[in-house]
Amino acid sequence: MADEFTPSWEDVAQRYGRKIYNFAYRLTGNPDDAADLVQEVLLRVRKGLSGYRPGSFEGWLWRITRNAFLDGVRRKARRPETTLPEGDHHALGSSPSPDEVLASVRLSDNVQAALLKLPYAFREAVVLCDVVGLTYDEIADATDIPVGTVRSRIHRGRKMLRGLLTWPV
Amino acid sequence: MSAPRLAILGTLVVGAMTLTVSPALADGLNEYLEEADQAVYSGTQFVSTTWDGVEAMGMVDVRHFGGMAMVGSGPVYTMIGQGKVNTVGSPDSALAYVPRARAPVNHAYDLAGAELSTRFGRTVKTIDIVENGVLRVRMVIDIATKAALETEVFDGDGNRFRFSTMFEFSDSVAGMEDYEDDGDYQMMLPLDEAGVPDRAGRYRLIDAYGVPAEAEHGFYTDGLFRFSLFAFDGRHDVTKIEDGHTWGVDGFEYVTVIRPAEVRVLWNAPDQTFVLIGDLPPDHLEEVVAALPRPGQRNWFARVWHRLFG
Amino acid sequence: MAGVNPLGREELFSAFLDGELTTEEAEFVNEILGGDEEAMEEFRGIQQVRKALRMLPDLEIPGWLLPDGHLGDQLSSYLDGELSAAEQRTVSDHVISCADCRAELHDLDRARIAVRSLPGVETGQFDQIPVIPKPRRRRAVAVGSIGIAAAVAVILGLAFGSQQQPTISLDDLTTQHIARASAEPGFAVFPAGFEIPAP
Repeated sequence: MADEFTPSWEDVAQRYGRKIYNFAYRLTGNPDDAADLVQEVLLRVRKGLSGYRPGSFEGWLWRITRNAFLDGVRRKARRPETTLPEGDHHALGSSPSPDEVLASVRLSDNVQAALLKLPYAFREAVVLCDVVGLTYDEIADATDIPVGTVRSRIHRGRKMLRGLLTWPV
Repeated sequence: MSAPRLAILGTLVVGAMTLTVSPALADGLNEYLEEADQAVYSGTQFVSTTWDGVEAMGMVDVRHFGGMAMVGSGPVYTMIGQGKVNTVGSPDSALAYVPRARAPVNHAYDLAGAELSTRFGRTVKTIDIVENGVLRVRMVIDIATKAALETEVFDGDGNRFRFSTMFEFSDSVAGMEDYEDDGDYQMMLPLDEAGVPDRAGRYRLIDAYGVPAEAEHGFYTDGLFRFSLFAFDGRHDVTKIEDGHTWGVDGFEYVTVIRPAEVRVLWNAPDQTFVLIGDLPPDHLEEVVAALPRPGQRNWFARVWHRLFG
Repeated sequence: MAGVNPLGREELFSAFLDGELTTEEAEFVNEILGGDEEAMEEFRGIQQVRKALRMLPDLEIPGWLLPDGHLGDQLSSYLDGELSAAEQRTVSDHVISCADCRAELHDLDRARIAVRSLPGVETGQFDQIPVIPKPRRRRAVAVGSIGIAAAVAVILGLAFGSQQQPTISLDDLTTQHIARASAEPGFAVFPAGFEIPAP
């Protein structure tokens, strides 16, 4: 976690754009919504950077991201789509075999579909932990809830996913 | 033009006398500049100026043909060239200057480097204009048309302060061949005696004109960069100008307005308001304003004395 | 272990896997897992889910969303003069090398010009410099107090003039400069109104 530095807007876009995109994609299951969110977050970051004081930069960034996401959800006045996504066809990786690709897409499709069935609070906690890679403290900072609640949400989220996913995949 | 017209003529024939001061090296530069003046091309040009931390930029469609440039598109466009400006589609806006002298190129300039490369799939030559050995201008010239595809101008510290480039470029021009110059020109004739200084640093006064509104217009150049100095009687409130920035030189304060292709400098000297408009680099400009009347407020007694006894 | 709610003890499994437990808590989890097959199964399930989540592909962000992709909304901000000088430079540099953004900037600029040309839209007189008002009355009183008021009335008329001086239009002067400059070969000259507004 990088404290005590104030990056430029371009730095933020380069360093965190992809994480924000992944966060948004996993929460919405929709590349367009994810792109919209990245744009919105970067816009807010650009406007807010001048007022940012050195401190927990990632906490600040993820608060912005989360608020932008929730504002977007409120604006659209609808729940994120729960239909199965088309799959992570634009996923990166070293050239795996066609079977591996298929298996990986199926797995990620399953996990993604299951994620979308979680209530928002649990989905958010799980995504911030497992997709974005934040610590519990950082998640608490970003979502403005106690660490104990973060711990509980992550665990309950995973537990719900366990029930939704068919094993072995 | 809002100013009253001095004379109205249907057509204009410019008979320019040429001062021949060009040494061999400057000849080469003159040659480039004159060839570029006659180039036939069209394109979209981007120009930006960064000056004292302020940046201004602009983008225009340019069609260049027969020494004239048609700038802009649509119903309102401006024809520029050979001493004339005519904004077509805008009433009362045709202006023609009759030049008396042509500018010699300052001996300090020299040509260096002439690398060949390609741009827009065309063969281009990069030429450097150095001033006393220091890079001042770098131009990328299209060999076939002689058009400048890119121009970079550097200040005295080697920082680029102006940049222009063609985004799109074509060696053909559509529409300009049919242009008929039927502008109703306001003619500007050179004054026999100039009230503006005949030198400003390295820049020489080439021509001076009386312009309406009690001003005098001096045109200065070193053969490469150019500026106009307008001297008005009385004091105008130059601080009221939009986008004006304060620029300090040798403890004196000037107001500058930075534009994509030129800088405008305004100041009040005792009993006069000066406006300088030109494309010269910042370090040249410092030298020029140092050689002109400085900003200042003449005291009341001196002003009365000046009025009564000259 | 003191302070751990037996109903919430499973929560420790996730935190254990995430390395978020204190040593004391971690030892407690070890203890549970050592003697409780049901807890072990629960733990493995959570471990599996966690692994599946972490194996989700790291998706590539579409290039246009990043500064080294295309500029998108930034172009409008650029034209509206809402960027800092540093951002402006970034945009300028990008626009010069990117044909797509150049074309878009061009279109946006055209659209702005079209909107500005609409009848009834005030474009503003940015370049009019007013004449400084002349403080005649105040001067007359001040000088009058030193006892030469009669002479001063004449002097003032001469000193300050009575004619109304016109305002100066910088755009008009620039047009005059350009007209004269275009009589010389040299760098291109541009009409006075030629500008993308900057902050």
